[in-house]
Amino acid sequence: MENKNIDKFFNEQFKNLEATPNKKIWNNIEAKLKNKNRIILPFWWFSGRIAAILIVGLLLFPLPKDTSSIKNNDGQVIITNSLEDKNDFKNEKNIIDTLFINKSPRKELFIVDNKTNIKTQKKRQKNKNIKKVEGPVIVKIKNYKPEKKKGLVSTKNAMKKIFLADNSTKINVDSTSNKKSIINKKSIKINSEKEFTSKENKNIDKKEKIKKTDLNDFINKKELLKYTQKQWSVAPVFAVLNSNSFSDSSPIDKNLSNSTEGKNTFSYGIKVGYKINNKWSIQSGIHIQEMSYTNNKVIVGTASSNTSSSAIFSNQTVFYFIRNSAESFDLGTNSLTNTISSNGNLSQNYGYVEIPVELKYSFYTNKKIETQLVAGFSSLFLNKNEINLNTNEFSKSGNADNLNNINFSGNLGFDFNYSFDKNWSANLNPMIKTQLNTFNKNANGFKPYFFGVYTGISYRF
Amino acid sequence: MAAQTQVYQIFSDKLFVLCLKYSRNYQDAEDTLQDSFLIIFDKIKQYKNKGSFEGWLKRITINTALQKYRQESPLELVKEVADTEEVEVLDLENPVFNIEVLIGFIQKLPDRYRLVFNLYAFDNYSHKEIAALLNISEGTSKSNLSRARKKLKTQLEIHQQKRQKA
Repeated sequence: MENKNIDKFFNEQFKNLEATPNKKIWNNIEAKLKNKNRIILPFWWFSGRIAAILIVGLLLFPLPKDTSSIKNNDGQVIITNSLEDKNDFKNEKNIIDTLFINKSPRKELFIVDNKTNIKTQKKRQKNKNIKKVEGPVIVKIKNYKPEKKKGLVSTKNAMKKIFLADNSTKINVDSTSNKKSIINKKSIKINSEKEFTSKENKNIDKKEKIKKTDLNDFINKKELLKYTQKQWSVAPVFAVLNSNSFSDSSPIDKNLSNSTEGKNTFSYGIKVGYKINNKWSIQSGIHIQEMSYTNNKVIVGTASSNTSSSAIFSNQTVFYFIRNSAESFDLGTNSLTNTISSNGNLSQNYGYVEIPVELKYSFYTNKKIETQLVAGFSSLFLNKNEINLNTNEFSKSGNADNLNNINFSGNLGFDFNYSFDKNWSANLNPMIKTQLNTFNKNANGFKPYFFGVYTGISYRF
Repeated sequence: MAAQTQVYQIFSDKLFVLCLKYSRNYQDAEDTLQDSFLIIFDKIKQYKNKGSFEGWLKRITINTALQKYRQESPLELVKEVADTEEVEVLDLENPVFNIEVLIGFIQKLPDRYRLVFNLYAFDNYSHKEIAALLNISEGTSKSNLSRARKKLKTQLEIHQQKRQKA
């Protein structure tokens, strides 16, 4: 035999040969891929979210001019990154999808034949021994009755797909459970495909396409299900709040207009959520929250009881407050004979027990990330009411007499959830809450609202 | 993961045969298959719909296998001279060989012989390309191929004789 014939001989023997690897291989690959995704995704998505929050925050609370330019740049950089990432992902998906469509029809035939081969393997070996000349048995597709054949294809396909969806790679259906089971695929005579009329081929193509898209949907749904089956969630949350007002007036004294500043405070509590369906969920909970406003450089004086001030101090003294600005600081013409201090700091802190009821709508969800729009209202029960007056000369504390014990706020915001696993997830929840009936009198047009970023680790069960 | 699962489902059987042929043994073939798929999923974005997808997957798998044995390839001590072509006649017209036995023969070849034989006989690489891939001379490639064939032929003969006796 000539040397070249060796090549030819081996080529013939190995033609169309396929061997099914042990399923542990796929398990290993899958595990490694998952690990990889776990490391990469959070970074991208978290930076994307933080960027989004920064932008929202910057829009609402512009920073001093000197730093704003840098911040804006930061925001832009992050945005373009995340967009590119998404595009890449789309492209990749498209490529794969088109590949499947191109490849699938022929491949499915292989799969079907593969299985019949397993069944007939023993037979074939016998045949081999007897008919030496023929070599491997040729299973011609035309030998099947067309109708039967179709039935076979569809049921086998269905089986195959369920295996796929289960992700467990049950390709090793080889009943002999021989690790080295190598199936001689020579048996497939591709020529026999000619037996199909072109019409039939087209039909099969179409069917396969439809089935493939269905399969993708199915898999996606199934993966989503894994994370949506758990309906209840509970999360300890912490938030930084920024107290604000739609006007700069003061609820304490009408003379203090244009000098009220909101300060950063905090809120903490527990959030409980219930998932109604894939799109909608409701959440409630209980939070302790504080709000804080200050007026600096206030002129303080004693006054008669008919003052406009809402602040009541412990020793029954009634003070009045006037904003210390260039225009109004005119001791001579004003009746400020009783002025005690011209440089006082007035701070008002009030706190609530907040019980929110909010409806959430998911507008973007994948395996790891859930993005929701949140709207609702909170009942607020007053539990802290403090006014502190600090001047160079003295300090006094008291409370405001115009705060309602119960009031409400309207809430609007976003909730971003990142799932670590089936049970645990982190969430970030920027909210704007507008208080509706904070004061019962003499609010002087002061309408408080606050912006808060709530964070927490949520447990689903 | 769904897309990757499908790629694996569709192509793993074919690529595993490739791995079996290029590797020393079954375990090595499994390792190579695993490594290849990790590279495939890592680089899948780089596939631009040019040429067949299967061809692309095969190239990656072959490269992974080459990588493995290229690194481990020991110094060649035998002088590389192309053997004289033998025209010995052996009746292999209607042989009955178990495919596993044949894979075993290939796997038993020394690393370099096996790689050259695979590249040349199965995957249609030229000696020039093989020389570049394995960092050897064309002469070495030819010599390795010839030795590989010779070894395989001997194995086939022995196997056949054994069967005839039995």
